[in-house]
Formats: sequence, structure tokens, C-alpha cells
Amino acid sequence: MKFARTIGAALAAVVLAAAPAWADMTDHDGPGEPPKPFEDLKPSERPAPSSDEAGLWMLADRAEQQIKTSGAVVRDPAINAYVRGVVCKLAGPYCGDIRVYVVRHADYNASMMPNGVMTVWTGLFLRTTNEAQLAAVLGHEIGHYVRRHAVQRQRDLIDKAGANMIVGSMLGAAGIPAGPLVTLALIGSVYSYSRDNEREADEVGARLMAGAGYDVREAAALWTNIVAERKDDDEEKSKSVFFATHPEPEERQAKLEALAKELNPAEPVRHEPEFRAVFALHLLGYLRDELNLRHYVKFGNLLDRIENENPAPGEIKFMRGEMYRLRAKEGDDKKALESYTAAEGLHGAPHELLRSLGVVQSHLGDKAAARESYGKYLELEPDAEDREVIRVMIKQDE
Amino acid sequence: MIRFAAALKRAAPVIALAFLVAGCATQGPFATAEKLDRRAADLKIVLMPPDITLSELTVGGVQEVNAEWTASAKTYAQQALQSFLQQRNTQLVAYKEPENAGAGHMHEQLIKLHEAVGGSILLHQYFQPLQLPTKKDKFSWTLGDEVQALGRDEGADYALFVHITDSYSSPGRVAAQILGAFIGVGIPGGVQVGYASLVDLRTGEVIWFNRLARASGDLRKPDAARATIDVLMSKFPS
Repeated sequence: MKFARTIGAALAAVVLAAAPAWADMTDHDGPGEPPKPFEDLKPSERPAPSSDEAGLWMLADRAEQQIKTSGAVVRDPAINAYVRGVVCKLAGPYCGDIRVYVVRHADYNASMMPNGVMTVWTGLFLRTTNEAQLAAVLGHEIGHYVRRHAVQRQRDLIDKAGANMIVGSMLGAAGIPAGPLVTLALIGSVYSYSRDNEREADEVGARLMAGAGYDVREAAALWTNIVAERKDDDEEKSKSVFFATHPEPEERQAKLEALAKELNPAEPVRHEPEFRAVFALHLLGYLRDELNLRHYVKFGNLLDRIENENPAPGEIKFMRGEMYRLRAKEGDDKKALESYTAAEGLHGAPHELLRSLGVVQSHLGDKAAARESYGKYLELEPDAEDREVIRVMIKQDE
Repeated sequence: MIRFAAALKRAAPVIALAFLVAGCATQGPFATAEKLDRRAADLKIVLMPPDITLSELTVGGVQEVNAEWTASAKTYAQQALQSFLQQRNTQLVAYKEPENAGAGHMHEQLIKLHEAVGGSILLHQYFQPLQLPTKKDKFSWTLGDEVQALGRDEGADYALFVHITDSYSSPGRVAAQILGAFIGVGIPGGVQVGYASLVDLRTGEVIWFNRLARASGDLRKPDAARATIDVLMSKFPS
């Protein structure tokens, strides 16, 4: 076993040494010359049709065709105008090159295709607390576009896979079955390249934020929110590909704080009321999407964080009740009942609260109270789609 | 999950090729009719935007998509399809995007639906272990009668859908293949996979379907493209 491990370590060293050597061979123009710096994409530039980059753009153009007609794309004009506006403040001359698609999707993510198609998941709007934080994410994505990370990554992968193949074949010919080991080294190496891209995008994003007058410290603050949400959630940490391809949040946070010291404008802005005005009406819907993922630890952390900042406390207390009702562990019906009771009458509590309240009252044996809650729900929502179901539930509780 | 399913559908031709090589696939083409319904005086088939992708297979096996090859392959494939059908007394017209945005949106949904149905046919019709109990002895797939609107907008009786993914070894890959042969390591080259299907725009039924899966062929040259189209269109109803 020990022998095998030593051989393994030696092979890994060979492969890891081989990958950069191969990359060096292809990146240089001639012997002894330093590698060319990778140039930014220019405003309204399209890659030459014969280039490898044009192939990536072609695939992205097709993907955009599909995204355009997707039912998941948010059509709300106010949201679209707002997000697009922030992109343009940041992107300046690149504004016209970037198309933003807001996608109704739980969880936080945004992505950039090589051709300027940016997608932003609605779950992100639960994590950003002001416009500057949103700008941090959008600026990061613009960084991927301007720095042409897609083609950089493809070239890196091709180089490394080539080295992987050559080393693998040579070892194979020598009778050493190194397949999985070589592949593992390849994946690790590709991921590390991807993390370098992320660091660069963070930096470009911070510069764009500063240029548009935003408070760059908010980029670091966003990561505080993300870290708080992952607290006690071990499952999430080990499973997510996101954290393999991206640097650790703590590292990004520290780097962004340092950048803020260096770059922040004299009177940095956060635009919190503007941000709230656009998304206030939609938060309940986004929270429902989030709860549908059934990541109760994360969801609880998320509610804890936004409870104090949310101007509609009835929404948060109602959703906390929903979390307990759906988790349905021992004692959760009681906790749900407490949350619903606390939410009742508060700003933002929806009518469905009465239906949920009825369900937990019925579970807890208080049939009369359950019938009353269902009845009130039907009074307030006489045309509710589930009215017939509720009538049956009232009968069952008689 | 949805993304995985979509990726699986997209990878279906490649999977189909793997099964073909492994020997547990059934053979096409499938057809519900040998002849086209020629009641219309000038029968027209609309060629939906062909989904063709050409890429170079690099030394390490990464497929690098080539936009220039793809653009010319689309032209050659369309020309080859046109002359193939002309010889069979059938007119092929290229798809035109409607000016009305609502109609365009609907067409796009039908193209997506066809991609899903085509992927399902490849998985369930060609690969026996996944055969559906209800479709054991018959070929019966439909996009539904909403396709009638597509027929009206395009002035066509049938719609032809074509998907082809084609890859070619890079010079480095070829060198590696030769080297590999010397040291006894088999390194596969490029493959040509895809499918075509004909949909009746009155009923929505898929009336003919054929799969392409071979390790030869070249869509970068007009003559070779014609040869590929001849293979792809085999047993096409006339």
C-alpha cells in the first residue's frame, strides 16, 4: 500500500509538472519570448469567423435563441430595466454588447456567456441587500466577458487535456495504468485555472464598481451574507461544484476589502432604497422558490439574516412558519403555529397564512380553530384555486 | 435535474452511436408511410433551421467547435438536401422567420419540442433496453396538431428537421493516432452523428425518422456532404 502511494505521488508530480510545461510550449511565440498578455475584448468586437473563439460564440448564440423563449425568463419590465440600468452604469462602452436575462430560479447565481449573454437568477436578489451588492455580482460577470475567460478556459483545457493524453499514453505504453490519476490531476489543474479567472473577474468587477461610484466594500459585505447562510450547512459545502471552481468566500472577502481601500470613490453610494423599491413586491415569491429546495438549514439562516432588514415582517414570519410546517420534525407544528400567530396582522402576511394555520391547527387537534381559519381563508379568497379542497378539509375536521 | 435531462437529450446521438458500437441498438430508418401525401398540387417541405455543429477533435479529445466549418456545412447540407428532394419531385424551401413576434415565439417552442421528441426517439426507439412498452411494435410519435400554424405560416405541408454533429481529428490528434498505433494504444478519431425527421404539418406526426452514426464522412466539402445527406435520407418517403 505504502509503495503504491509513493508511486502515485511520483506520478502526480510528473503530471502536474507536465501540464504547465505543455502550456508553456503552446503559449510562447518563440523560444525565450515571454507569453503575450491576454487582450481584453473591445467594445462591439466580434471574434474573427475562423477563430476558436467564434465557435464558442456560435454555441452561445444558439443557447441565447433558446433562452429568449424560455418560460423561466422574467418579463417584468421594472426588474429588467433596473438590472439592465446597473449593467450599463458598470459596463460603459460595453453596455450595448451585453444582454441580460433574469431567470426565475432559487439560489444565488449569475453567469456570462462568451457572446455577452448574462443570466441572473432571481434567488440572487434575496442575498444582495442593495444596488452596490448587485453591482458587485454584475461587475464580476462583465469581467468574465471583457477578459474573454470562456476562450481562455477552453484553450487551457485543450492544452492540459493534450498533456494529459500524452503523459497517459506514455505511461500506458510503459505498462503503468495511470488513467484515473492523470485525469484527477487534469481536473484539479483545470479547476485551479478557473479559480484564477474568478479572482481576476472579482478585481475587474471592483474597478467597474468604483468607476460607477459604488461602495466597493459592499462586494465584500455580500460575501459576509453568503458565509452566514452556509453556517452549519455541511452538506452544501461538500456538494457544491461552485466552491471547487471558485476561491473560498473568505479569501474573496479579504481581497475585495483590500481593493475597496485602494479604489473606493470619495463619496461611495449603495442605493439601498432604489433596490428595495424594485424587489419588495417579489420577495415573497422568491422565498417560496427558495423553500421549495427544502434546504432547511440554509433557508433558516437566510430568514435570520433578512428578518431585520425586511420592511414586511409578516412575510418573513409567515415563511418561517412554512419552513417548520414543511420540515415536519417533532415539535415543528407547534413552532409553525407560533410563527403564523406572530405573523397574523403584520404587514406582508398573505391570505394563505390562514390556510397554513388551519393545517397545523388540525394537526395539533384543534379542529374548531382549524375550521375557523379555513373559513376565513375562503372569505378572503373566494375564488382561490384550491377552494374545493379547502371545503373538503373543513368537512373532514367536523 | 432539468439541465441534466436536456444534456442527456442533446447527447442522445452520441449515446446512440455508443450503443450501436456495443451492438444493442436496433436499426432505422423508421417510417409510417412509404409515400408522401401528394393531394396538394405543389407539395412543399420546409427545412427547419438545421442544427449542425462541426468541431475539431484536439489531441486530448476536447471538441473545439469551428464556426467557419459549421457555416459552410450548413450551406452544403442545404444544397444537398435540395437536390436530393428535387430528384424526387419535391420542393424544399428554407425556413423563414415570421415577422410577427408571437408566431416566431411559437415556432421556437415547436423547434424545442421537436428536439425533445427527437432525443426521445433516439433513446427509446433505437436502444432496446429502454424501449417503451406502448411503442414496442409501432413507430408512433407526434408533436401535436399545433404544428398546423407552422404549416400555415411557412406555406408548407411537411417540415424537415436535421441535426448533425461532426468532428474531425486535428493534425496533432492524427499524429497521436499514428503514434498510438505504434505503441499499441487505440485513439479514436472524429465521428459523424445526428438524425433527421419529417413531420406532417397537418397532424404533427413524425412520419419518417433516420439516425446517422458513422466514423466517416465530411461536411466541409460539397461532394462529401452530398454523400452524407444520401445516407441520412435513406428510405425517405417519396
